[in-house]
Amino acid sequence: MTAMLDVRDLRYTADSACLLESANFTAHAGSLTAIIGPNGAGKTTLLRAVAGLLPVHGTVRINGDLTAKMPGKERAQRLAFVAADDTSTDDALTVREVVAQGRYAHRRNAFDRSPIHDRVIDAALNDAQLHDLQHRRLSTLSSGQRRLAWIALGLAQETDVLLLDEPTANLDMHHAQRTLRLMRRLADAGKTVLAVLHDLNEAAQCADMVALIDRARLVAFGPPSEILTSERIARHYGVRVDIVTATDGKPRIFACV
Amino acid sequence: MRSVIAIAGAFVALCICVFLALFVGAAHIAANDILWALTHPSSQSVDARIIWEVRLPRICIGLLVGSALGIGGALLQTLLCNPLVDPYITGVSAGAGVAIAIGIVCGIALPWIPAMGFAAGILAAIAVVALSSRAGRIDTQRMILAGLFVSSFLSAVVTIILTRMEPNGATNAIIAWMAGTLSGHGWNEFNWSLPYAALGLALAICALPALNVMRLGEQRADSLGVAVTQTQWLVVASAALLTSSAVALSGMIGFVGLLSPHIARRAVGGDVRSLMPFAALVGAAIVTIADVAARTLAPPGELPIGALIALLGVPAFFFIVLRAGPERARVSAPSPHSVRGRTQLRGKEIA
Repeated sequence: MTAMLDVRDLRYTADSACLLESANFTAHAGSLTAIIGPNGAGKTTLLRAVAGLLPVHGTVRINGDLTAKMPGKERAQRLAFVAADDTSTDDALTVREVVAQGRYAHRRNAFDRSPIHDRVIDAALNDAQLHDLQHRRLSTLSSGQRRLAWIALGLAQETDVLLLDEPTANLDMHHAQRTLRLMRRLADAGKTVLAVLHDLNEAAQCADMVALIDRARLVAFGPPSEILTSERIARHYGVRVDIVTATDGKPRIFACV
Repeated sequence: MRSVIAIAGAFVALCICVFLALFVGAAHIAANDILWALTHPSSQSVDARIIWEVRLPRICIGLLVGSALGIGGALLQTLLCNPLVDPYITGVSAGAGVAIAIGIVCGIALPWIPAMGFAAGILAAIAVVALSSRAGRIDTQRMILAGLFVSSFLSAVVTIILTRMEPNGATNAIIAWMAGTLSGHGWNEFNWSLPYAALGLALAICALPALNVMRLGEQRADSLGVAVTQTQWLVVASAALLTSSAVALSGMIGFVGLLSPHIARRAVGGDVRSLMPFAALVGAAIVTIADVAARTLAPPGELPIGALIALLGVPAFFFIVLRAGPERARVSAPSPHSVRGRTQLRGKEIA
């Protein structure tokens, strides 16, 4: 597999507090990496740092090219970041209008109505199962449906690298599973997907690699079977767990109450 | 398609307002005489002079002022994600007010007064932006506060100047400017302001595509490839130029910059590519028709157009925006589903 996303010595400090300590990892094309860790550990900070949204030290390369030297539009054509929160958004926007903004970096001008944009937007809406809701205003959707709209926005960017912050939060089991399958399908199609996941079973189920973050430090990076051990979970989450291997060969984690 | 039809409809409505403004005035001129005068601009007949030297410049000034305030309001409401913002939040009107008050008190020649107002308006906008900038980026929440502070401070200066002056023609001129008026200006003032308004419009057009993405919030716009800082500066510079051009010509005409984007948003949605032209047409129509009313409601004098628009604008604002409710009013008020809305609702529950 090709090294698509290469992160070296990525650090972020704000108000003299170190919020991300020297993160190093490589994500390959066609891989899905789950970023896990306790609340406040720095998972979203890592994702935002990789996305170029924070003034960081260190380097992020996509297919060998430094993202720091890319113009904003080029970066948005190669890397999509789907944030978890939806503050400061114009509530008058419809779902389709939101997803259409994903084509900003691809449009030649404000009035570029090339049919390819509509095709990509339709595909993104279909992948996120939002086609029937495309003309609804974003503010009238449930938080789970809005989460899917943000994912569709990221898909409409048609990037090689997709960064998703808590893509399954607020989703019911059905939509969460479909979102995980979508992430898997995107990775299998050659994209590099990084997703912050709180549910360790979701990480175990769909990820090729797991990055464990605790106290602003990337403490472990490797396949789920190596990272998701009861000792490690107890050490970093403070929870005793039982881990069994399911029939699909992947670990299943049960917290001991 | 719906937007194109709506914009075409607004254009037709504006044309009707312009014809009305052309036909209505202190001097009664028959329709065929007006048409004759329009086709003979160099004629020295009284009718032709009234049309070309009084009514047409006044209509053009009204169109420029209304469209500039409409566009300025649409730009700033979109940038700041706040439906209660109007172009005067840039501090332009208060800055211009101080300069015009000082200019009148010092007896500066009248032709220089609009230019002084324009320059001071731009300076006030720069002060607001400087106060609201952090590391080169404009903090949109701070900008609203800075705009209020600067405007309050400068308005206080104007009030002090007014209270220290003997009631005379100068105080009346300042009060007339504060109430807004289209009278007393002609082609010279219009031609002087037009290039600045055109520059403001050009900057707005440059910012259009990025501004549409900014409706998703700064962070998302950033990740979608928008040069957020550059867009903010473009929009604020554009709004300041447009508003300064308008204020220098007409004084303070309130509500147009607030109301026009609301009407436009309900007609064509929030896409700034449609919102901006529609708001410009609505703003121009409001000022044009209000000027007709200001000229004809209390003859032989004139009502102050700014006060007249505010009188009619308040009930209109209630009817159009507040009566429509949060779901029908296409404004970015916080919804109960958004984090902003949930926080506010939670606050209410606790209270």
